[in-house]
Amino acid sequence: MIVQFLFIFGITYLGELISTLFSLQIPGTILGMLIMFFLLSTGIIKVKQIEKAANILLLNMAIFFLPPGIKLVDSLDILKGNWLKLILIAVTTTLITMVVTGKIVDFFIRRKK
Amino acid sequence: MRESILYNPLFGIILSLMTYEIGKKIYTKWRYPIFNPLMIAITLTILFLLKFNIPYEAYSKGGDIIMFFLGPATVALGVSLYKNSQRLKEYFLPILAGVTAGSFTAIVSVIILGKALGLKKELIISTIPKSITTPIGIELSKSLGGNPSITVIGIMITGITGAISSPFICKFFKIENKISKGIGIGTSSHAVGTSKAIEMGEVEGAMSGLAIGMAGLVTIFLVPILTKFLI
Repeated sequence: MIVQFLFIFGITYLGELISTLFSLQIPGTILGMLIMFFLLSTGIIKVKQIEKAANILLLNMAIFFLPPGIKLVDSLDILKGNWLKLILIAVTTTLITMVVTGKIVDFFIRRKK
Repeated sequence: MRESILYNPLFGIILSLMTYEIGKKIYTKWRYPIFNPLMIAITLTILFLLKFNIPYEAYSKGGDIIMFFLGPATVALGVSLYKNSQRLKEYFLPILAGVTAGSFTAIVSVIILGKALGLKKELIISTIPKSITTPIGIELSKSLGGNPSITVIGIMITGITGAISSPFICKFFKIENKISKGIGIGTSSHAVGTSKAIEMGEVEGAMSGLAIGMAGLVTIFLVPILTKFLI
């Protein structure tokens, strides 16, 4: 298990180093995700070697969002009077985005068949 | 005394784990999408901190340690991506078309609606990355000159909206294919929506997970272009 986390942390570190050193627009963690995909695709790392640790992280992803959610308290001032508007925008645009995305994928899959 | 109790990282960690566990218990008991575990945990933690007048800085000693795992978790998404590379290859064009159209819709609809409601520029910019996963959203918000805290609020509301509404939306708008459902959920409401997609089925979950990464990348490329023309 230690080796599994070592791989994941190592790749995360590598991604962040590359992103910082070359001052890239893409966040280090996303570079890390691509590096992970690349290393698995080329067979340099086997799924078996990281799967357990990866599943622990993926299946518990929601709780990692808790601290940034708590920061809400810190931001209350900035949102003064804009709470309702922000909720309205976030909810409406999420629904529109879901429908547009789903319908377009549906359409192209049907056409492919 | 109070200092040494509260400013210990274990305080924030224990409070987070406890409130999240309570959230999960409530959700498993009633199974109403509205009882989202994360939403319950956020509410309980905030109420606790306010009630006992505990500053955010005390909580964040432990909170930062939990938040740290968001990075490695994003990298772990590379594993889901790899596991679904066969399906990804076969339906790459429909998926890419959907994610691109979806990310475009998310960005443009936020800008248009934000302007229509008369929001300040900082607020609109901070809300633009609300459909993508938190680590990219925060970075993108910073690079645009937005306020990452507002971005996180937008991301949270978005995620919870997706988790609650997705079964209803897929049914009402007749989104039929499992791939389409997953891609729609992941593109519109990232990892929090994905937790619901995983419940709907294996394909939906995997595709939603895939869409988190893709939508993040597509959004990074679209945002500088779209903000240049629309803001």
